[in-house]
Amino acid sequence: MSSATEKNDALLQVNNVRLDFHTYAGEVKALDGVTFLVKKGEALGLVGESGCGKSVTALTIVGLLPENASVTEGEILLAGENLLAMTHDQIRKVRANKIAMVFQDPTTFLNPVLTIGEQLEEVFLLNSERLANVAAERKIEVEAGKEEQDTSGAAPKLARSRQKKVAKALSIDVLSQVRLADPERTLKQYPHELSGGMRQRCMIAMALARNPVLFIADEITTALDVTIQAQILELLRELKRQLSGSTLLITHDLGVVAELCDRVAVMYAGNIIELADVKELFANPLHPYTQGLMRAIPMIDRRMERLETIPGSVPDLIYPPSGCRFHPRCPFAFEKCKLEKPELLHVGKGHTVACHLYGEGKA
Amino acid sequence: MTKTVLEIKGLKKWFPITGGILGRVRGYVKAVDGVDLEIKEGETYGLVGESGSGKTTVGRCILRLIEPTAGEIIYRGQEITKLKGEAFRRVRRKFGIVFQDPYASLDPRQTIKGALTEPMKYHKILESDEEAVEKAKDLIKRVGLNEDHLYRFPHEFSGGQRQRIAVARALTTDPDVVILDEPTSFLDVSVQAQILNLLSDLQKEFNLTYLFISHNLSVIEHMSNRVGVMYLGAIMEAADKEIIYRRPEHPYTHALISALPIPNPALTRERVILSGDVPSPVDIPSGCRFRTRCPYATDYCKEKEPPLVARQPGHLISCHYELKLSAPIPLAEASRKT
Repeated sequence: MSSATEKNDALLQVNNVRLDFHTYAGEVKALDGVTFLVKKGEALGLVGESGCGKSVTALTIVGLLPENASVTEGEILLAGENLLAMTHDQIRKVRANKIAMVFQDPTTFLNPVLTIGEQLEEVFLLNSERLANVAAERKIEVEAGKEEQDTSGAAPKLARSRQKKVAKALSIDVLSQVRLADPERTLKQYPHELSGGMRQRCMIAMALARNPVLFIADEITTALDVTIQAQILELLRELKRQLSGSTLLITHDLGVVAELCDRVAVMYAGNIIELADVKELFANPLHPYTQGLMRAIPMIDRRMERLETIPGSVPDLIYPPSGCRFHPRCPFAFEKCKLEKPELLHVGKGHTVACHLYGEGKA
Repeated sequence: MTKTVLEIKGLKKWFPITGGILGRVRGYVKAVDGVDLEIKEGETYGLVGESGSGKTTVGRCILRLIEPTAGEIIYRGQEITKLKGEAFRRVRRKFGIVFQDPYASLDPRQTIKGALTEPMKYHKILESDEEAVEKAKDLIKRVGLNEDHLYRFPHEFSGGQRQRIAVARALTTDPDVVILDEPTSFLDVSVQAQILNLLSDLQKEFNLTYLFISHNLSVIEHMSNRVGVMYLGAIMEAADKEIIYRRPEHPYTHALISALPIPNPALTRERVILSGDVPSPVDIPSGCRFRTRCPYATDYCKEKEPPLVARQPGHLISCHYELKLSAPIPLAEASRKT
């Protein structure tokens, strides 16, 4: 388990979260006690194959689960506050101010009938206090005569027309921050007029607009071509240097993880099975699944005649295997693996692994 | 000297865009705009490119699943784009194809037995139904499934198993050339590895020639002997795999390889990040089609389209300049465990 010092610089703690989906076929036990933490300022990669629960974990954090999902156990703490205990309105506020999430397919998450400007300015218009501060700082004025300071509220509040002007200025800022060539023009465009890469930049801009403490990126480069993916990865690298927040990067691509993350958590069938610093994990993978995964991908920086494979396929989570969920596919499985679920075990250098091979004296 | 199995010369496929009440042709989507390639016996030719580069269209034109607009396709010395009826049927059975999406490429209402025996009946390869079933049994075992699976329907299989069935089906007519159109892009990495190994095994066993189409540069590198890099409907560079990945001479190839995220955090390298997006295939830039994103483009590139020429034997490049480009990836065998 993680030490006390680690807990202190934790931004997000996910503790033993279990989650079921109710379906006609039965209960899908999608998360089986997921535990990890995201430190302040770091980029944590969450990797695994489809159906391993990585996206569900992210949706649980931001409270966007579908109706047939229920969390049966566990807590998710953001700076000490349990997100799972929050009401609808509270978690909505968290999404507005603290956690921003960007998804794989930007087309689905942009409103096709509103311009980018309308959608982006809305984000700023929700926060009138910030608008007032920015207006004062930058001395943004409206034309004489239209000025009508609203003094009824306690906090300084600007008139609507002036708010919009400030929101537009901020939108242009954030669009140039994501390296869109012509932000003023982009503001007036509709999503269909933009390319996939540009749309994804707009989504990232909307996320940044809120100054989030945690930025969750769910497969954000998967739908993009290699050269466009490279542009977005470069942007994320740059933003990581500039911004102070943490990033949770969800992907199935170990290449993307190697390029962007500080630490990596590997998921399999609803469990975190290994977690380590990125260099440590790639140099010294301990869990048989992680090892198998790394040998199964063709890599262009090394010669190999034949890929190693992991036999079988991902288990059906309505009837998950007993004990360690990986045991039916594991070449090293022994009796204990069928009976007992392995706990995440600290094996040094910030490396944790959930496997009986590394239990008492076994390593 | 190995024989050339398949040669493509000046292949074009322009899809017309019609509009208005009269349905007049307003323009063309130039999906494939002059492709030349040559595939040798027993090799795997990797065709790589970003989405919309026309690589899938090339594959479909070869089988004439869509009719090419212009160009020649020569299979073992015979021009096949003009063949009709029975004559073409005899040639086509020498080709197999595996599609990207194993959920769409199998008929949900047909058993696996049906899917495997139908091509044999159509091409009249075997005398009787019994023989066809025997052969189907043999093939299903070769792809790592068993006889019982013949009597099931596609929905009973996982993605990886379906792709195995699709591979078996491609082999039913004893093909010479198999076109693999993104055969693993729908699969997870652990299953992808199984399919790639299977394809390598079958290639040796049946002495097949592969045209492997993919956007995944690592998969292409693993599978191919030679690689052609496509951009906006044309080949930019084609050469042995080693040259394409270690010493590319076309700026697009160079940028493509250097942009690929490599799963090795210990590796440091220079990245070339291309600006902008791929232009629309309706409105291909004048001169060199890559010039709008090329970091080395000059005014001359606007005027004249560079021909695809061999600088060294077997290394074709479509670029006006002989650029000195750095190695896009250092070999790091020493720094990693296998």
